[in-house]
Amino acid sequence: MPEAAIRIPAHHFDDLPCAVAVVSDGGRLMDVNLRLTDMVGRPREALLGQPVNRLFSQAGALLYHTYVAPQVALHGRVDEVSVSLSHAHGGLVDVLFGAQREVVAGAGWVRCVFLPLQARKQLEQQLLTAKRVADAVPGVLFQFEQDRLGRLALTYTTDAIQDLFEVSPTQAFCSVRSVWRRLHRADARLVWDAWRASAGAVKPWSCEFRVRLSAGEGWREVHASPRREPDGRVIWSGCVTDVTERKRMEGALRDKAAAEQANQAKSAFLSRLSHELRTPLNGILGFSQLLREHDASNLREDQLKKLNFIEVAGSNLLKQINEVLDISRIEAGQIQMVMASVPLDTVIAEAVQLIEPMAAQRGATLVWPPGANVIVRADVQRLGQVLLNLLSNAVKYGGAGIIKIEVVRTSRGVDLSVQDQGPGLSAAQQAQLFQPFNRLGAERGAVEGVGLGLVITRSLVELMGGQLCLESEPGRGCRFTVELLAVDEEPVTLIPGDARS
Amino acid sequence: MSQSVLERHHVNVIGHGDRVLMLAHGLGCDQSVWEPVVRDLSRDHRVVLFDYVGSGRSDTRAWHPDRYATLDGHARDVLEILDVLQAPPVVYIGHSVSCSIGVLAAVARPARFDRLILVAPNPCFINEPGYVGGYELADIMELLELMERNVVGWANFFAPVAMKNPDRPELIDDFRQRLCNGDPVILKHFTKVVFMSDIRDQLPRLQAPALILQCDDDAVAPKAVGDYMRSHIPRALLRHMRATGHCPHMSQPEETVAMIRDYLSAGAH
Repeated sequence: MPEAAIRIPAHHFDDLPCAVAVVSDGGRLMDVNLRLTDMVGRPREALLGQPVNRLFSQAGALLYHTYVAPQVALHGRVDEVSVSLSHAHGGLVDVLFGAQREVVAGAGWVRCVFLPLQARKQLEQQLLTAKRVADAVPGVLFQFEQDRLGRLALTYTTDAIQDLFEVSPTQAFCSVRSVWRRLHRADARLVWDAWRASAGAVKPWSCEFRVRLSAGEGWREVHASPRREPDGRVIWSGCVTDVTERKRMEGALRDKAAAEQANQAKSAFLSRLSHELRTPLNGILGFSQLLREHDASNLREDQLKKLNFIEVAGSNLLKQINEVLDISRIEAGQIQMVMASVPLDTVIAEAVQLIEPMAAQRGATLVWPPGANVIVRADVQRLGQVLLNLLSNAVKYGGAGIIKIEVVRTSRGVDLSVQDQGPGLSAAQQAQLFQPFNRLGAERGAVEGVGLGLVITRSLVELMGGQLCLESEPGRGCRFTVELLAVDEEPVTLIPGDARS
Repeated sequence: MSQSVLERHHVNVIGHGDRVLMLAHGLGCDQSVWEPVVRDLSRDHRVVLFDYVGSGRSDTRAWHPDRYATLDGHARDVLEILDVLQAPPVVYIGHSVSCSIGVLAAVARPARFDRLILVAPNPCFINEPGYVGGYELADIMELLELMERNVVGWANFFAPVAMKNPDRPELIDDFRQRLCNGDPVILKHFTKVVFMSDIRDQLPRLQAPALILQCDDDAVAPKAVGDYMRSHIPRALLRHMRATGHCPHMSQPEETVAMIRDYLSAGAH
């Protein structure tokens, strides 16, 4: 045994209540005291000159070589390292380990002390469990302190501070400012004021704020309860959670509510405007009618022609105002359907009768099935409006050609369709078709209207429990199909749809 | 960018010479562990020293668990340092886990490496049928548990003591020193990454010649591991040292330097 080892022998400490060993830099046991031989159940002779691993469990040996030995070599010592020894008869001995290195006669010697952990091991285990739970809790748990001189320090934090603030616990302990710097500038004042109020009144501290991290902005929420110590310190215990997702959803809900409110305001405005416009318009139409009926004999030919213009323009305007009124009622959910069993033949016949003069004028021919004998469930007046609208569109946009009305029974119910021979619509045009006031460029053409007809038509069909579909491609015309609910029994009576004014 | 890489790893370049040696420290250490070896080698070599992110005086702000979820993140750092330094192909000298990191880096970018010196390497710690790494998974799990028990005291319970005793500056100094030993959260993470790593499939892809220094009685890198490395790295040379333990560069710097010089003066094999 080298002389140097004899100068710092461990067996001098045989009667101490802790285990002692002397280890060379190369990791060999140079001396051990009696307590250590008892602790690992091996005689001194079996340990001397052996690698230090002989004392430790497998994991303990790894910890010694990769963590303890470099620390000792770099800093000369380690304190309070928890490690496990292996006993000759099997089983592990948990110890607290401390070591100090000194250089004697040019060689490094590490003196080691091992204190058995019994009750403390359990305490440590509980502490570790508490720490694991604290670290696994979503968010950061923390303790924060203001001393009587007003100095601030973070005294506890879980590791999650790394994720929520991109600050390591050690950085945060060294300087609260490292956490403070992550706060969004605009919110720092708010957080500070909330904290000051909490400190002043010793009342809970809660607020939401933004943080700026490498990946962008996030929202955090803090909740903490303060308590005042007799020495004047105030200590907050609390948690910070990531509320970015919640704030995002709240924002989306707010936007949605605002959009809905704006839309309702628009509908209310349109409804009111239409009412206001209808009153003077009824005056114009009413008086021009009176003029025609009572004073026609006094009017010249050209004056009668002018009167005719007034009437046509007035009734067109009335129709468009009614459409605006309809759409605003539909959007406000104020339209009521009076559902009944309706013979489709009657509806078709009435619509055809109304549209034929206009079709003839434009060179279009209407073709419809005679006696389909189908009963559907619908609001008779609204269904008439739907078909009239589809037919008048077919006449207006389909040009000269055949307009075909078809009725087909399907597994779902009854399909009522209107097919024209017009220019048809591209997929992009079809996608925009059902947007209010969108006329696909027709506003630059000769066809009158404000682009509400199809929107109203579709809404009415849907309110009756059906669907409006469009099949079209450029050059192949348009085919609008109204899917209606069928009624199998014969209609008892035709309920007039004049429940509304 | 270049300055930030050098600061991130607290890179130091010392000494003069045509050859550039890059020295990479192991787990739980920092670049200062090479001090006894560097004193000699820097007389006639340029020596590059650095700390891994989370170790020594590195910039811990650069650490992110995703970037360093495997050893590849550290290998990328090694390559970034070499890119910034614009060094000619280097002799990379790694200890312990740095051997694995060096192999990954050299496989990824062979042109940056002249040769590798692997001090006490272990490419996979966990035994498998037909492979002896030295440990069972249960041992590694116990080690991670021990490590966690030891870093608990550091991060969350020691700091308040230091902060509450401003009249005892030695506590704060001690705390600072512990900070220099690396961030505990990162150390815990790094320990797991190191001991669960397995780079055996990369060994046959290493083109650069490599010297394996095998210590006597090394519990971390047993003899069987040294033999495995030699038979799986195409251009490997295995030398056994008289030094015992896992850190010959600290316990036997003279022998370590002699073996390095011996290998450098011989031509590539």
